[in-house]
Amino acid sequence: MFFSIDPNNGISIYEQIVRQVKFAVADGVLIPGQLLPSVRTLSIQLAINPNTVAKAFQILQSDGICESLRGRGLTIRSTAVEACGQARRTLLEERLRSAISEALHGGFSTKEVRRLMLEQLGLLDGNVATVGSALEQPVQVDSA
Amino acid sequence: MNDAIKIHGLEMHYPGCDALRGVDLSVCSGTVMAILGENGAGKTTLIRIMTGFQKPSAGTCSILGLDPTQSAQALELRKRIGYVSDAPALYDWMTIGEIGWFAASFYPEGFKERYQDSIERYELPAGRKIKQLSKGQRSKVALSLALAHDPELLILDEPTSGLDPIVRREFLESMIGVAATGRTVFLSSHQISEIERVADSIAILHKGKVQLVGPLADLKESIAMVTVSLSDPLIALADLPEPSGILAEISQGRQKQMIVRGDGQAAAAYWKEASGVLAAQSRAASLEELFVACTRGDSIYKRASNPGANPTDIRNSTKIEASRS
Amino acid sequence: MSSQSIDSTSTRSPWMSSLLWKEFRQVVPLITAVLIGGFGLVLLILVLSAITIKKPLSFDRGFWFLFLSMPMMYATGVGALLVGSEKESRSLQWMRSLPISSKQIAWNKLVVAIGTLALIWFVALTAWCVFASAFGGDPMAIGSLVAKHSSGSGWLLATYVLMSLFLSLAGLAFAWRFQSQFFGLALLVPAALALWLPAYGLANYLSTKSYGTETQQFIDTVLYLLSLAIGCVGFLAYGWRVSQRELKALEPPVRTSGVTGLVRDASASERRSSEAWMLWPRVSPISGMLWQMVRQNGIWWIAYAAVGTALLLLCSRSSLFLRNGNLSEDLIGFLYIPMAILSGWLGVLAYHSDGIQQRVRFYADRGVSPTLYWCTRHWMPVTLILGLCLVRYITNFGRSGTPLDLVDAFGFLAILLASYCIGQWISQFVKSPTIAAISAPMALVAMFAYGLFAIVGMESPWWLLMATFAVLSISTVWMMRPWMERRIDWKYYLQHSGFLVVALTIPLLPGLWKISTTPGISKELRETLNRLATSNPLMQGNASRRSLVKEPESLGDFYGSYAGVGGTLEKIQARLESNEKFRARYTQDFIDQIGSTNFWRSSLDVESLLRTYIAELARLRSEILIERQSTSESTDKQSQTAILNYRKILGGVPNLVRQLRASHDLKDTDLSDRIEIIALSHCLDPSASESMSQAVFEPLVELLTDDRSRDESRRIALANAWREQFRGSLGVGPIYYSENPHQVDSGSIPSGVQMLYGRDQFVADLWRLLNVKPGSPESISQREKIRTKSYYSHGGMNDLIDGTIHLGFPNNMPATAWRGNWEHLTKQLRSEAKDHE
Repeated sequence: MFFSIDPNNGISIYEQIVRQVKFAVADGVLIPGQLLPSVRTLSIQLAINPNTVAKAFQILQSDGICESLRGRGLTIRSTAVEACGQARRTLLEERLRSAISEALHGGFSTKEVRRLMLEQLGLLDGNVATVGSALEQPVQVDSA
Repeated sequence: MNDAIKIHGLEMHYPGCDALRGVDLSVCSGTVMAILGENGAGKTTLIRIMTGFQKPSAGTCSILGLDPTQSAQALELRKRIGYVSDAPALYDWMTIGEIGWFAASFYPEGFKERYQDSIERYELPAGRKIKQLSKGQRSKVALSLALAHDPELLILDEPTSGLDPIVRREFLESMIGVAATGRTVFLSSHQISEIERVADSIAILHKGKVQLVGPLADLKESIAMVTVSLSDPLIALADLPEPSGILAEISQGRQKQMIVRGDGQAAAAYWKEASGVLAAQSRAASLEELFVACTRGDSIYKRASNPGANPTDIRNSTKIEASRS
Repeated sequence: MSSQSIDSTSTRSPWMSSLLWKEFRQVVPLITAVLIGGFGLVLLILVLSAITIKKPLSFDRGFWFLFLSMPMMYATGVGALLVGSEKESRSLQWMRSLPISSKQIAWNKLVVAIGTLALIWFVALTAWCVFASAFGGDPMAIGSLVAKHSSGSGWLLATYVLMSLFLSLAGLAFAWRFQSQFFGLALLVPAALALWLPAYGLANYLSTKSYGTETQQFIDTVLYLLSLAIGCVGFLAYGWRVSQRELKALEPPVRTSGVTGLVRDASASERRSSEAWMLWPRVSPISGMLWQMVRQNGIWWIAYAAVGTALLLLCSRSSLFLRNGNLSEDLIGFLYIPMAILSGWLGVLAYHSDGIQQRVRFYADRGVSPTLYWCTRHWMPVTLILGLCLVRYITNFGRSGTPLDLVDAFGFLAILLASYCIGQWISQFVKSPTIAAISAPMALVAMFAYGLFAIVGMESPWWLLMATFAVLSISTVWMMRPWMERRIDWKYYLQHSGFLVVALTIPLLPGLWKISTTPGISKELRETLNRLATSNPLMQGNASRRSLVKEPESLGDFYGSYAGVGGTLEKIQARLESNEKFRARYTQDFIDQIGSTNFWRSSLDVESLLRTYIAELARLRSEILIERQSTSESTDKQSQTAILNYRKILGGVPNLVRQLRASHDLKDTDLSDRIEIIALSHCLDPSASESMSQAVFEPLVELLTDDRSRDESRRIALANAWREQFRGSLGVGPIYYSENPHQVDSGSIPSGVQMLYGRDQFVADLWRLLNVKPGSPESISQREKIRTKSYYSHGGMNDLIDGTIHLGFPNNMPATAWRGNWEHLTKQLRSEAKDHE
């Protein structure tokens, strides 16, 4: 899979890797049993410190997304898919919460916020490609 | 982990200027340490002292267990490390292959093969004379020469200055390759984006002293940029409770922007409760903002804590925070 | 449009002046080096010759060449410095980025080169005129220096000026064309030869046509001037074209992406060599370093060997250089000097080839041992030199059949190695390659002059000079580490200069040791002598020594008869007869005048006068004694006259002695001693007081027993003689006063100092003598010591007065009579006088 790391966006690099792995699992880009690239390969590919990659992998392991296969590396666990989906839901909740609180902070009333959201939902419904599962996904910006 | 580099109290006085005024630094083996600093901050002087090209006015220095201030040990050291200076010297009339073969005679077996791999990876024509190469290609040759004997420690002095982004990327990959094999890398640079990707720990050198040192990840986690909007520009903000602290601040009209050590959200919340404060937000500080704050200290950014104090060691503050929580 | 051009010219002016100033600043080091070298050499040679030759230096037209060397050396180096060093520092690209045209850049450099050359010429000529007039010579004498071309001085000067212009223009052109400063410099030689040979050939050809010497010389001069002018114009045009081409070609290099790494496809040769290097076997570091040296400097080494062999062949084949089997001067000119200069340049190459673009840091960065680096730099060149000397030895240079003299062979080797050593030292000391190449020959000359000075002037053994070069070599090893790591700061130069000082001092050590261990006189004695001399200076009026006697020839005979009679019996007889006649006429004059100091001082030959004095007194006394012994009561008129004269002469002695002493001159004091001795011998006679009469006897006794005033006058006279060194009162002997009886003045400084100190020692010993009581054992031993150390080998310190008159006077050693036994005998007089009372 392709990672895109932005060292400047305020999220630490290892966290970005973890998230992107989780989303990839949730999206089915990474399937259970698939082998992740080695620390060395990934660090060279992304041009980031191997320790950072190692830390990301460690977190993935402790979160139960990956498991270490002797002599082969890290593989995705079968239970990972649901956990990733859960992770994505948590993340989405956070994002919705921060958007809503920003709106409220800006002076919008609860009614106006609800109206805004339904408006957006109406616009997007049916126009967003979904992953072949029940979970929603963020808007993808890619060519058809 | 034992330290590959141990520097204590290093000073370098030239008539008319003090290049280094007491530098303390330790680098664990197997990590990548980056030194940040403006031009003239003393980075090159530090590296020259570390490689034995200069004798310091005071202080001790221990690289791989050797003392570079002793001439015999300095020569031994240079054999064991890979050193790429900011203007690497090469014999122009040699071809790329010839210089590899020539350098191989100074090192143990295996140099030529590794050099060959490196040359091929960079797609350099082995038959071309060095004087006909572009700047990027010359730097690649210099780096290949430095890496081909598989040194335990790689010291790079602004290796990517003046190179285009693609070459810089390739350099980065080589450095990471070295780090991935467990070797130590010490580099000085002011390409902050590179450093953010590649460094394990950083040190910021300003006016001959280390202003900030510590693991990069901890640094980024423990430093935040807090923006406070005030109703009245003359309102003074209270100091944060220990162990947090304000590293630098800048005022503009009714807004103040502060680089805060510690939990940014907590600091924002703390100040929000103060009277006259309209709003307080916190976000993670980028390394660039941190660097600018540390180095432009006196002119734009005021130091809230006393300037000239001991360098802020992030590791200590995070440890204390951890123990608190 | 016109306003635009006006704007551009007005904006050009400030650019112009600052650019010109920048170019000028670049050549300042060369100007400094050339001026220091030139004037330094002149000064050095002046000082050294003054010290060693010891006579005032006469004006020699050869000095002109020293002054000439300044513009010539400058012209050789200016091109390389102006353009070559800029190419090396890559600042030409920066200059191209400025809003000035490449024509302007080239023009600026040309203007500065020629302008500074003119400046150096001006300085050299002015200095030469000053120098020549200071030595009383004719500045225009340079015209007739070269034997063949004794045409008017103006033409010769013009030739030199044109030559220097040619060199500078050619140097500029080559510097534009080639990257390497050394290469451009080296090409000047074939360029100059290419110019000179045709002119020379043509001139030789034309001389066979026999146009007559004056016309021939005119033709020669015109040919040379013409060829030089053509050369100048040619190189000016060529240089301009090359400069424009080079400057226009200086575009920023195309940025290539590192991904492909190829700007263009690899050429065929590249493809070949791209695989080859992998197959080369692994070698040791030394071999790698030697390979690097050979590839880099190989061309220069081959050139050196080729030129050297060519010179050797030329010299061995040509019979010009063998005159009676000895080294002729032409040999030195054609073989030794060029080979020495070439070896010096070989040494300069040793480090500078790596110093260009700081490439030696390649070694430093990799922790290569400085000593190893040093050894590898010198291994090949030194082998080359040894090989060349071996070739010379083997090719039987000398008459066919006889092998080359070993001294000659080793001397040649030593000169080449010494030149190489100096060259490599300069290579490490001077940063710019051009200035190093230009200074190397000057340094060789200076070193040669210095070596000569050390051996001749300071009595250094020749092998000690080897230590000098050894120290210079050691210094480059010692300083190799800072040089490799490019830590070239004031400390570096200080340390190097320290080594130089040590190296130069070592040959001086034996001489200095000799000087410092030569004993001198103590400070108190010096002060005492000075005090005495200043308070009792020499009386004037001793200068002229006119003779008052009327007939010098006969007088010479007269005196000569008492000096020793030799020859045949007839001659002796004849002499005695003529003496009698002479005596009959002049004796009374003699007796009347002998009491006056003027008479003594004006005499040409004091020794003969003394002998006459003794003889007359003796004759008078014998007459008196004979008279006394005769039984007849009547006193003869003759004996009456005799007694009168006797008393007259002796009566005048106290006055004479005191007046002589009053002049404070050592010669006069010694004379007074002698007179006293003579008087004493007469006073010791038992019937002295009777013969002399009491009136004469008592003053005499008083004079003779007055030791104190005698000693005092002696001290004063000694002090004056010591101070007035050039009057020669002490004579020539004291300068050889030393333990070593075979002391000679070898012309060196230590022996000169020893001479001076010998003089002081002599005076000190005499002083010590005066402090000793007369007649004591110390006085005897001190006199003996002075006698043995003195140069006066015949020197008797004659002191004994026995009954006979002592005729054998020593040579002109001063103070021979001091503390002689006769002083002790005066005491006898005193006791006798007391008895009488």
